[in-house]
Amino acid sequence: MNNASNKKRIVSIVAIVIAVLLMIAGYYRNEFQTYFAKAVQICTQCIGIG
Amino acid sequence: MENNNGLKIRRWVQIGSAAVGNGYLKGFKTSSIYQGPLKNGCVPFLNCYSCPGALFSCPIGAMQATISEAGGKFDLNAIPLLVIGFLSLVGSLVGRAVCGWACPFGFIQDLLNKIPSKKFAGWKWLKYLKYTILIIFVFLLPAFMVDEFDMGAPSFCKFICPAGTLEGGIPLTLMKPDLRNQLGVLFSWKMSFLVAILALAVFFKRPFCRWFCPLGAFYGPFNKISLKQIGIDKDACVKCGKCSKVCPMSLNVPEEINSCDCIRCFDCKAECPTKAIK
Repeated sequence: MNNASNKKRIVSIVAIVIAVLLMIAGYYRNEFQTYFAKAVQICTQCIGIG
Repeated sequence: MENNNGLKIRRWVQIGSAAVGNGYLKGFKTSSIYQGPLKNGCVPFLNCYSCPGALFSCPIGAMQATISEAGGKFDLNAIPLLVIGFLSLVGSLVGRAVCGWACPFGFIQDLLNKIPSKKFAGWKWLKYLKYTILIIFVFLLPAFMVDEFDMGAPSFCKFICPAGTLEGGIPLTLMKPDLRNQLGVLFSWKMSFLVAILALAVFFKRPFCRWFCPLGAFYGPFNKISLKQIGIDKDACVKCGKCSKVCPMSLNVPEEINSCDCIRCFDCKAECPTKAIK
């Protein structure tokens, strides 16, 4: 039981590290600029106008 | 007592996150949306960035905005690493707890389910629909269904998202006559879907979260590996069924405690008479 929960904890930590690395990669690719440009205008598609 | 306190804390967190996510009151007053730097960041829950009050971006909208840059072909640069990383980080820490504690649309469904009426469990197989919606409407259609300018559309927002209709569509079309004049079949469809979800929420617990939400589909598998786990002491469990009765996702708690559909609300833990849920 302890072994299983230790394994699960290791998997969680690996997933956290991968997630942080993905965030760093996305940040350096300036991805936020793409969705920022969309988010600061009224998105007619989102509100159902098309 | 503990149950009441636990539930009260969750309700206050839900109210707080809805208020923080949609705290741009000036937007409601001036019929505009926030355009400041906070929109560089996403909230971890479904929250339309076209809501007049929205201070942050919606993660599902942000993912589609990035993917739609693919222009109809497979493009590594259009994979939304930042948002996928952010959601994976949240999921790896707390699993699907955001759905239970922070999502305003989940909160609305929780409240609607309080209306006295006959309650139904629903159909288990429908839970797989949300994974299909995530793959088709969030990942594939924005990448490959492009217009004459090679731009994809946020297909989930456009055709499905009832939170967008409620938080963005209704207030903006009420406040802006020029938008109101452009309403057509698409808006009618989205309004019908919203009304259907809200009506279903009276009779079924969280129908949108259980059957349709792509963000829930994304977070769900993280329940298996998240740092915060929930477990049951099978020896202490007396199989009274109280946990399943209070579960806002209509789960059979002793059997499905770490399933992809658990939203980590801990209502079951508070209700358990033998403290078997830890």
